[in-house]
Amino acid sequence: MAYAELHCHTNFSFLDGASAVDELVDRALVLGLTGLAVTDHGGLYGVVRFASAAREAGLHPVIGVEIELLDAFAPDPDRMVVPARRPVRGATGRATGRPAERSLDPIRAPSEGLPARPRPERTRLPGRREPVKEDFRGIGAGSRGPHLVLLARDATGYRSLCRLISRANLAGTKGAPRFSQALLADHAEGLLALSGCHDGELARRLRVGDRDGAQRVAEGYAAIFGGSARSGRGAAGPGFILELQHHLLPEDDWLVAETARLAEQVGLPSVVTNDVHYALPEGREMQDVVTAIRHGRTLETLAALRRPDGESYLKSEAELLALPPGDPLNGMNDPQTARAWAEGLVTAGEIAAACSVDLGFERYRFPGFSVPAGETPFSQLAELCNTGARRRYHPLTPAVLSQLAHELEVIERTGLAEFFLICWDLMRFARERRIPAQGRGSAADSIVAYVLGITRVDPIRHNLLFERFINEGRTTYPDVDIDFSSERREEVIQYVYGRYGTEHTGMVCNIVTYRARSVVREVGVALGFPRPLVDRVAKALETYDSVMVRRDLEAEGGFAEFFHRPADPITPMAEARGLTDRMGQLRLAGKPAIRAGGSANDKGGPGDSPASVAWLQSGRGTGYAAAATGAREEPPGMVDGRLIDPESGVLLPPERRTDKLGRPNHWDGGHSDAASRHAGSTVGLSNWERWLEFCARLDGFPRHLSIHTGGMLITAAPLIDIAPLERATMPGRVVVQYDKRDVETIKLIKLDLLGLGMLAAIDETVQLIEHDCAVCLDLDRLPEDISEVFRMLQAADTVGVFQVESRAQMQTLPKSRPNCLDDLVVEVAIIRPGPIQGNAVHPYLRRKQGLEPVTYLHPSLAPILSDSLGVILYQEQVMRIAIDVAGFSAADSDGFRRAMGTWRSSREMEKLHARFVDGCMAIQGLPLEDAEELFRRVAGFASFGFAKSHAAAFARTAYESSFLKLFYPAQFLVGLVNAQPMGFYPVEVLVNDAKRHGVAVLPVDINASSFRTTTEWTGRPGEPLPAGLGISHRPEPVRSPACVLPDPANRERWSAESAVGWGVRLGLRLVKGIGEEHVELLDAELARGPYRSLAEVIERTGLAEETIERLVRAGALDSIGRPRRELLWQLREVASRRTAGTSGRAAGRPLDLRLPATDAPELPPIGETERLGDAYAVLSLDARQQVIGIFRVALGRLGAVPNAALNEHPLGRVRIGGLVVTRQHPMTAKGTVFLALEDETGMVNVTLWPDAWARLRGVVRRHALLLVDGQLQREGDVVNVIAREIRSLPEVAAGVGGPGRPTGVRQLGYAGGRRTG
Amino acid sequence: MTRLLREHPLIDAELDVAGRLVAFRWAGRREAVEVCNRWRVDEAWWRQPISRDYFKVVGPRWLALVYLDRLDGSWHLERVYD
Repeated sequence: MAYAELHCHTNFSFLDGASAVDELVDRALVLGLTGLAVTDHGGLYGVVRFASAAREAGLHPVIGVEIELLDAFAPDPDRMVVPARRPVRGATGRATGRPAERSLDPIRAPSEGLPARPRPERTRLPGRREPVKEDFRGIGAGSRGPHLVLLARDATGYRSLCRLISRANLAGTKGAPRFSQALLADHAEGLLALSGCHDGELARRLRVGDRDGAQRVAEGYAAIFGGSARSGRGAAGPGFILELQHHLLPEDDWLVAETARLAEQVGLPSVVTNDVHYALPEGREMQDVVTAIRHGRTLETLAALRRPDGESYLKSEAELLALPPGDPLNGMNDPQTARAWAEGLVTAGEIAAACSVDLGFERYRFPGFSVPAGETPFSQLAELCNTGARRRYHPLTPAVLSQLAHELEVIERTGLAEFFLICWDLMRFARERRIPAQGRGSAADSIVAYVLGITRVDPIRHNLLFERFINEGRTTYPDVDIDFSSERREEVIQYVYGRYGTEHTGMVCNIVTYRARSVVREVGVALGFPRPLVDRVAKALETYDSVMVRRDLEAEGGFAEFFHRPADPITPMAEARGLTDRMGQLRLAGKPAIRAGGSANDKGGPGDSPASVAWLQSGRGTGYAAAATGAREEPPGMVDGRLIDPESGVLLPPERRTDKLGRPNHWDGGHSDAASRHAGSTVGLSNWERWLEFCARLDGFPRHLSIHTGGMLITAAPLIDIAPLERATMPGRVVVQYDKRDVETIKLIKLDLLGLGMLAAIDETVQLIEHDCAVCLDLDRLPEDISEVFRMLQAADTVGVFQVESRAQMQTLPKSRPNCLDDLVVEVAIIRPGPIQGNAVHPYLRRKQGLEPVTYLHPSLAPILSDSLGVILYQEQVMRIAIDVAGFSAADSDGFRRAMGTWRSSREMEKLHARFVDGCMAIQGLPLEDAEELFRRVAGFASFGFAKSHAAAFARTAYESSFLKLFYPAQFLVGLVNAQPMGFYPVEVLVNDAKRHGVAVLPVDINASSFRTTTEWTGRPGEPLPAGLGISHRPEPVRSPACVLPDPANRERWSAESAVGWGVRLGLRLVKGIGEEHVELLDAELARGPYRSLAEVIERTGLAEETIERLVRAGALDSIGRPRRELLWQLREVASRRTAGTSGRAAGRPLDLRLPATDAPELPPIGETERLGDAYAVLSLDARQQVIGIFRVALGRLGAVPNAALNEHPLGRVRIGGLVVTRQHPMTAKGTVFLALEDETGMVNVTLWPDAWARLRGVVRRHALLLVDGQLQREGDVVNVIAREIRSLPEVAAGVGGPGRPTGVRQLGYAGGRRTG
Repeated sequence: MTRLLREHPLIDAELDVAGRLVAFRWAGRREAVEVCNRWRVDEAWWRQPISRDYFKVVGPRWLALVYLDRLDGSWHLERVYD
């Protein structure tokens, strides 16, 4: 009794496998398997998590892969093994034999005489290849190459697998590796091959009667994979093994017998596998759904692309033994087959036991950092630290020296010197290239990282704890995250590739999983819902979180009722509502209408017996449903679970675990205990319920790989020996098939090189300041106590400021009133979903406001918690409590913190609990109840803990960006706009906020705007704006290495002269259709001189007609001096002349007779409403005025108050009008929705309680311009409007003579679950 | 010639002690049979589930396709090959 399953797919087979790794491992344990192999298609994506889950659960993991070969092993003249490829759908060029490359010469084009296809206007960037992704939809496994299963016997085998997979992937295209027989033969060392499913070459040959060929294949593979054919089984045995599979399909009996006979003949062992695709029988439904998604079809039209039965679940030895080949009573099988089957079960266990791979690569983790002769990495590090410390600290205090010595000692003991050197080297490179960079995360706890220049936070100053970063008890790798300017991160990545070699460097992948929208669409289509309905449902979703789909759909009027009537067919309701024309009427040729199923008036279909119809009508569904509900249903013809023959009276033997065909009897509800939420059958549910159910189940399934935002892997051994590689979509980029977590598990070194938009914004701001104001800022030396900055923060004037600009932050800043950097650190750490949910925010705010006294449970806590006024807030505090109060060692304290955070197991928690409480009583003499209370507080906090080091690093950046916003608002705005997308608010909000701070914002103008947004001299306040291109000369920059301290005298000068004189000229990039590829041309043309006519714009820029139309509508061509309507009138004509003249593409265009452009007739000038609408449609903003401005008169008549006046408005009922700029559904707010409503005077927070949201959801989602009636609340300086009634502003305003709706104004921000702050 | 029976009439199946199909009775005639092949079909779970064990059987007179409806345990005749 030692069966192990050797052929099993997880959901990492990407839509061919319906169970997650954990489910399979759990089920394997329940079934008593001794081992389990994971053999996903073409990759090792899931093996690391599988191996660790299996080890943890006590199951022996086997690592393998199922590959699809391109060619046959033996000659295949009749294409029996590798079927001729059908033309791929959509690739007409290839199918018709036309060259894929389009000839640019129209005369030689093969399609001569035919109108040429329009060439895409947007040319590809140089070096960007056509994204090639082969389309296998609709092509079943049977029409593709033969399969083969490979298992790694040992470390050598694992290396072969990695190399084989990598080479095949690099030779192929993304998602379509090219495994050839030759490649396979080169990488057979250490591998075991199984002959595969019925699509293996062996089975294919046997099925067409080619026994000789099959024998040749078996012997050939046996020769390749080593071991002699007759040397027995086990580790030293043959490397090629024949697979016996029986899925109760018509030809299975025969195929098993035939394969067993062949095995006997060639003297190779055979093994029983089940080609598992799901853990439980019910998983079959999910498998069909994902198969339908993979092929882009519905369940109904999937036909032969899915398996006709559901036998590919994980089976126990007993279940497999009871299958026909192993059934001794089965007359159809010869004894030889039965023997082979029984032996195959045993062999499976033996093979699994013989395959053992250790996925630990500690010894390969350092690439070997070269140090000068006579130095070791550690001595080099120590020297660098000493130099750095002298630079960072003046004077060098004993505290600094002793901390440095302590850290270096730990680093030496843990052997991490090279790791620090690698980071140091990266930062050195970034500094030399002037790439803004800073370390974040727990690395900032380390003084070594600080003095090496990796981080910018002084751990002594902030009282940080090194052990949070590295300690000797830690099993995983220390995590260093480095933020680089998002615009220049690529340079750093290229440097790493160059420094350590492409062989040793790779990007970690990010496994993209299914989210609500994609799930709803794909499942909806797979279940056969009409596409318009699917679209409508998907659009109704507010969240990205698929488990919340139900909440959203139930809230959206029109869908809710479908979910409350599970038994009714949905047709009449859906039709009546006009949601669909065909719901439930998906008539397929010759097939009956699809009904919702389980209906009381169900008459059944062809093939239904009267009994089955009666059964359906009784509403009892099937045994599946019985198992799922736990109810015991007995079908007709059964007595106490025993089948009775009414004629002969023969009873089946009772208590059979499986039925005659080996399948567990569903009537006994035997596996309802094991059926988790993700495994129950959906039979008996309505289509709508089933839709939701599959959405929830598919949530989190891996969908495809993408590059992780910055994880770089650097290894000592060639990467190809350690992890499988594959192509990324980005040309030339290679990713590892393992994600961040996997890499940590196998103990490799990974650096997170992240792109941070704010660093790019700050960098550009600083450069502009240097250029515009002749002030050279060294932000590292910016004093920490500029009181104006804190006054600005206290007033929550933080639009655009890093980390503290969100709605929640703005609401708390006036209460927390930060007046030093430490307070800002708290602010960054506390306004997050965790502390908000954990109610940690209010105690802190009350103490900060002086509403309650700052107390400590015990005096020993005072030094630890004084930063946060006695509230436990940081992970470092938890560790320090464990060390100082409970007497843990530094290393143990980190373990304690982690255990608290993850609640691993109650037993482990209990042990730590006892140790903590005992320690508190023994060390500090706390009374028992205080010790218990302290533990309770620590545990309560731990789930949302935040590293202080990380908060300190971010707070520093927040402080710097506040400084820039306050003193250099124009330059800061330019930095922010050019670094988009980033931050919390759309550009519109940033621009309007800057305007309210006195920054002149000039519109997009083809004769003044560069590609990027820039600053432009607008003159001192009061001076007339200079005409044309701005100013003739600018102040000469004065370079100063020192930070300019903003002392009042200097500040006066900048404010008066340089800083305030600058406005912002919006860049052309804000116009849709203008991208990076146009930057050089546009800027060069701008420098050549002004554009004087529309024709010149078209000629010189070469932009697409639609783009120029957008430019006209945005007002960018106003400086040509012609009215917009006239330009639009001429545009088509002039543009068509150009295109006709240059490429001969005349199709669909008026005949070009080279006539002069016709003069436009007298056209009325456009109104302000239309102008605004156009500007919002093209740019999502208008430089001249905020859209609510045109409604102000009407709003006045309606009695609405401008937002800026709310500070003085009496509390109580109030009416306001505004544009929705963000909408938030924080998960932490339990259904409350927050809107940021902006008008021309400012922004205000509107709160919708859940009942108001349910009522007003429709209008809020459909309209961007809203009129809100509500209750004004004011708490200190924090203003809030609780919405009672919301209407569309243009509709109401029209009634009082207001303007109509500016057509281009859409909702600007989309904020779903993503923004939880 | 094959006759496909649209209604899939109920038949009485005789099973031996081990649960194997040995004979069936339809329209008043008993046919002792031997099973040539069998397979399982589990289908249309999203609509009206079909779950059947098919048996291709041969007897002195008929070559037939019969199935056990696993949902209600009834036996049916689907095809007769003359």
